[in-house]
Amino acid sequence: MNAGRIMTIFEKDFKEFTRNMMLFTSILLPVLIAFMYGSMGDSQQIPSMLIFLIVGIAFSSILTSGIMTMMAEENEKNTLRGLVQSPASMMDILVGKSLVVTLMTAVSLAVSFLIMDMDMSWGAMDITGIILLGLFFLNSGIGVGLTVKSVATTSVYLLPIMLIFGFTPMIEIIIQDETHIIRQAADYLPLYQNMAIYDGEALVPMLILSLWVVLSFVYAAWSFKARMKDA
Amino acid sequence: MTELKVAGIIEKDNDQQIDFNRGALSVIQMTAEYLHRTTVLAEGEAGIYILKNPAEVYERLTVREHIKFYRKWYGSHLKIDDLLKQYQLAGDAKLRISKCGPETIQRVGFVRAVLADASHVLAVEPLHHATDANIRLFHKLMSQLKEMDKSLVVVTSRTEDAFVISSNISKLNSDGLKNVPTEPEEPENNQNSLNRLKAKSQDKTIFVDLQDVEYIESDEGKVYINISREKFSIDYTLAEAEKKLKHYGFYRCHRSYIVNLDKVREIITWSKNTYSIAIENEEKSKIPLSRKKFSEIQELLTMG
Repeated sequence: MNAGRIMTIFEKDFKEFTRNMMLFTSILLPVLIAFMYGSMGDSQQIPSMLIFLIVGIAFSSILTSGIMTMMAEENEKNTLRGLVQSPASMMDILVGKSLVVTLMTAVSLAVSFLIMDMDMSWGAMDITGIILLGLFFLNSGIGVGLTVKSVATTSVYLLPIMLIFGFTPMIEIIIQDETHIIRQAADYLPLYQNMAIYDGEALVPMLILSLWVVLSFVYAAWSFKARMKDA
Repeated sequence: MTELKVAGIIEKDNDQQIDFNRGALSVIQMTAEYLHRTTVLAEGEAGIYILKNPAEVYERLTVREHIKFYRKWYGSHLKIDDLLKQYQLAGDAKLRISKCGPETIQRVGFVRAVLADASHVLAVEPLHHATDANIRLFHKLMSQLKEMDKSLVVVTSRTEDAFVISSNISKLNSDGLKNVPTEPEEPENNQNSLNRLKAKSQDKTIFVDLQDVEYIESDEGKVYINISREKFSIDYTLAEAEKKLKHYGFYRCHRSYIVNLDKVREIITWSKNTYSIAIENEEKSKIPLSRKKFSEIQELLTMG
């Protein structure tokens, strides 16, 4: 990996991200929801479900969608040709783009939490959990972004990722019955592990979350290999 | 040394190859299908930068940001402002690509070819839809690549475009790669008189007024007359046609071309030894003028 090239891509994609209305407005989505819920009730008693709903929305709509869309646009316009001569230069590009979306997500989440006036007494476990969750969403976005041929097709992948992994806590509103099979299965989804960690559990949710990260990493690595063979 | 096997392009047994020699230029005319295969082959070679037309660009970045990005990515030490000036981009430097015309985008592509870290450049149809100003800039790119000791191979489907780049071109067809000689062969004797030409268009035989003919070209052994964007084949060889048309204001300006002197709009000098005749038509077609004919045609054009 080449730090100079990573920064070159970061600089270029930072400009592109802020000038792309579709991507730039995605930053506003978590902030908007934070604003809506934050003004609804007593700010001292924000349920953990709400916090993680916003985290899920931010991660899926900025991290995953952002890197997926940026890669898809490069694929569609064929702009990576002539830049990528080796797997190493492809890694530089992916890392540079990941830095852009990570920065954007961090800004959006920080503003959202400020609006909700949330108490930020998070422990080391909570923060590790959030980082793992971020890796999961980033890997999924990279995996799709490497293989998808156009921006239009990204929504086919993005929608299920957002609904299943991003909006997970919403399921409690749709399905009230806690013993329902879907509710039981949803307990194993990544976002619920973060909620469990936040509520005091540690070992089992951390293991399940790590498993999700490993899975997403295998998918991203598989996409990377397929792409490099293709090129 | 980097090379592309001709066998892989024509998909037949052939032991020739397209060589990328540092500091050297080669221009090859071939069909669109072969162009595609050449590009695919070159994409598999690490040391070849492929200059495509139109160039792939980022719509949201400005011209200057593009050059800055490529310069950093390829680790070039050339100065951004010099490049902007050399390739006539200074005026559009702050414009986003989405607001730039094709002429500007093509220039950005030229600059990128200069900045690329590969030592070999393959230009695919670089002059397709190019303005005269951009043809000149392509010549600048050629000399700049030569100075940097990079190789340049230009592939194009149009013989006219090939001759605008160099007077020394090759053709690639199913028989392989062969050089195209530039100087006319000695015409043979054969006399006849007419002021119309018999030409074939698919199954029809048409008679064309000589004054409508813009130029006559020979391509792969067949002879065609060109009349405002249309090509019709005729039964004469180019030497026969030259003999017959000599007294009607036609002039053999190149081994493969006869031009109607009435239709000559201007003579363009691209570089030493590379000349074109621009034809008085909508497309401003450019046909090659061989070195030895350069002064003779000027005399002919001013005499009448």
